[in-house]
Amino acid sequence: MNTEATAVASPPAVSARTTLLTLVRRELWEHPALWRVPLIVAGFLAVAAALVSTRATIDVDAGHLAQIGPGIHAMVLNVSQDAFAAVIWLFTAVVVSFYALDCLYAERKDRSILFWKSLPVSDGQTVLSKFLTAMVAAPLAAFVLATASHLIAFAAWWLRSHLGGGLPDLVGWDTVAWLRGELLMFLVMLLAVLWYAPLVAAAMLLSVAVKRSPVLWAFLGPLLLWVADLLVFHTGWVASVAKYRSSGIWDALATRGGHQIVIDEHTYLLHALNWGAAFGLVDLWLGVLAAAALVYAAARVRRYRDDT
Amino acid sequence: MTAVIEARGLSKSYGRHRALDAVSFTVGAGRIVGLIGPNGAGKTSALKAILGLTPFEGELRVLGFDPRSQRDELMRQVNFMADVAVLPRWLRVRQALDYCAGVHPRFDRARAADFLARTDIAQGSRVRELSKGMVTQLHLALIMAIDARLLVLDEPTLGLDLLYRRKFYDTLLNDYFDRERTILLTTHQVEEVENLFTDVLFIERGRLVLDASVEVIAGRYRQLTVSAEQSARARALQPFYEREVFGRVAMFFDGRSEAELRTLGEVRTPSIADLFVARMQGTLQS
Repeated sequence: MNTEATAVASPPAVSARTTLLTLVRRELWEHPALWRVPLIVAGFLAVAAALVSTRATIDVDAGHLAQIGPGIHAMVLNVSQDAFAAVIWLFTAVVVSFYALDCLYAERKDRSILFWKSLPVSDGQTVLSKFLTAMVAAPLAAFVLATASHLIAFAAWWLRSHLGGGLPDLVGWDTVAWLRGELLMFLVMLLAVLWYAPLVAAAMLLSVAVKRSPVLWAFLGPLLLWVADLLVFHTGWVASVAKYRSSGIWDALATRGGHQIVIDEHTYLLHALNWGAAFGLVDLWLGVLAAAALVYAAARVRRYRDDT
Repeated sequence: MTAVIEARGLSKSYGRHRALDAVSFTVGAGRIVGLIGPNGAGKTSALKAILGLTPFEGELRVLGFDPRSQRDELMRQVNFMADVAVLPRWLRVRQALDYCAGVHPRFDRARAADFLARTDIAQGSRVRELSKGMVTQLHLALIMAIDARLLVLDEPTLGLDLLYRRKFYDTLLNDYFDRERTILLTTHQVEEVENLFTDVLFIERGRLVLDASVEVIAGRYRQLTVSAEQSARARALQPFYEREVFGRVAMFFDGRSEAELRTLGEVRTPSIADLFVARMQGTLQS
């Protein structure tokens, strides 16, 4: 084969936005639990709350009934908003955790990585799309679902309260309070995403690096460290790091001047919480940097991970 | 002729095992090249190096790109199909088309859909619902719709029945190959595809033992079939391999003319499958 070397002009790439959206869609196809579980939970909450509202009866004596006004309406609205969001987010967090541990392992397990790598998508784009699915798409979907299911349930309560009787005038619409509640939920979600980003990125690195059973590694690894620390080193470091990484941001958010923030019916949670301390926490941003480094490492490992 | 793949001293080791040992070869544009070797010979390592899927030593340029540092640019012009099991089982046919259209600048969705319309594959089906042959047809539809310069096939018909295998290669040759594109193919079913090849690379224990076009093979190699009585005379001409066939002896020669051998028995150009066995056995014996 007598030949001479040649360089071939590369055709233009698909736009980065189109590629990224396609990659995220692929994640949602492959891991439907990411949207199905929050959707089912949100649907269940909305239906259950609506059903309950058709049967429940709350007796409020005349003295208390007279006190019900816009303040109580706003509180009921905001508390129910928070409750819906908390339940849906909890399920989403569990699903995202398992997703992060599986997303780079599943493609190796079924050898489909050879198909994905036969197309012009870089390892960086692939890993980034998985990280964004976990850290942006799933939380945003949970946020939208929490809002929608709460609105459905709240509409049912409102109708019962105003048309059907049985519920006293506890339920009243307050647009400003609702927007305040949505903003609160959005900021809490943003904090959660930023704070737990290094954990998700670490799970993804585990997913791409271990030979098998990333879920087992994720639970056994920290457990063994904790036991070793408890029995051999006696520093308590593992337990304190685990506790800090799970709740440190919420401690900062709920503390002002060294004291726990106290909430009463005259205080809006949005105004009372210490957002400055939470978003200004150095460890929050160090965690984000660590997450970026871990995502980069996962992409590098995927580049030459060869167990097909 | 321009080079599509140019390898110089290509080496790959897995621990102490040397999968590729300073291999050098060139693949030109518009060729259909068979990369042929026994299991563990280094075929897949070579393909993975070409596709930038594994680190390696030595020099390697594919379409002018270094697969190590320019894989992303390279894969816009290279198509790759491993055996049929690599399409994810959860994927729907429609999603496969959507995905390729969303990431590949040279994917023609209409062409893929048109190809699929001629099969029994429904766009709503999941890969796990398709037979092996249908999965291969789906993968082939995706490949046919990508306007790539180089197609790399690694045992693409493994586990398929004869009808699907034949259909696969017929489609590839009639509807895909246009004498400008290059196809690099590994397969164990050499007999079925040897008429496709324009060139062959025989690889054994990480080393190339033959790098030639079919024209060169036709001019250089001879298979002489002689009776047992004539075998001693023929053996004096130093065949590199021989085997008994129904009481006669088939001998393989490198560089002997047809006229030189004709007086001893029946002479023909060996098939690529026979030449492969001869070279492998000859290599092993030497």
